[in-house]
Amino acid sequence: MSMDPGDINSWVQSYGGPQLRTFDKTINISTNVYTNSSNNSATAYVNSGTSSASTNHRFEYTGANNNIYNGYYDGGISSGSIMYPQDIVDTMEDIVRRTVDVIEGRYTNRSQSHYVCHTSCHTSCHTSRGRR
Amino acid sequence: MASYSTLNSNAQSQCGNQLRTFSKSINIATAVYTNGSAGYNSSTATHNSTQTFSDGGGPNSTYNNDLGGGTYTGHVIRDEDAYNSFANCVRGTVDRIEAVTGNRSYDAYVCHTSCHTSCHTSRGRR
Repeated sequence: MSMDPGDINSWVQSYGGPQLRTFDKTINISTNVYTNSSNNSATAYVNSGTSSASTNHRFEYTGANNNIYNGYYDGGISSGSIMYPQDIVDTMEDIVRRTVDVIEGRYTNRSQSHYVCHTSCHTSCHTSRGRR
Repeated sequence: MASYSTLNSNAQSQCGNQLRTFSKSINIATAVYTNGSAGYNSSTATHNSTQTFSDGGGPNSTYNNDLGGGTYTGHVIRDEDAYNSFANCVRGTVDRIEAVTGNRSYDAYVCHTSCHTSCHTSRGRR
């Protein structure tokens, strides 16, 4: 049975899509921020003025549709023509390019709140009458 | 005549070139304590940090043998050789990008240092 461009187009979608949906990575983003430094001695003060806070951020594409790869096969593959092994290689290149592009699209801006300092301390420092 | 060795090498170099284009910068906004000289409502601010995720060093070998074994000149390309090749190279790409997406850490000091110091003296918290 001969291979048809429709077969290739179907396979890049049905075999590429499930692999793309495995993209799921959570990382920890830690920031060093001002914190409380109560109960410090004169010698310890300088080194205890900051602390770190962390938030996990997830990057994933578990809901990716197979049709993301629709049409991503080598242009040399056409109905009635001989398909060469290099056409398969060129198709792999096409879908890796597509994979990188769509994953880049999943890296979106993030926000987090890292309040570590005592609120009461901060308030005492910054009153309604301005900074002390 | 393209041998499997030649085609496997082509697959590695062509896919590797695409993998190395992965580069995305995002902004991470962190809300932190800051100067509040204008009053209570200005007691926090946002620290912005640009973080870049990339794989400029992604090796071609990521795709070694991803090409189906029966894919070479003089041999009929089997269905499974074609679709396994497609699945393999996407899997390798995803795995590699996940691996280079690592934890981050940076400084987000927005408050006046002098203010912070005045609040926390060597005699303890005021």
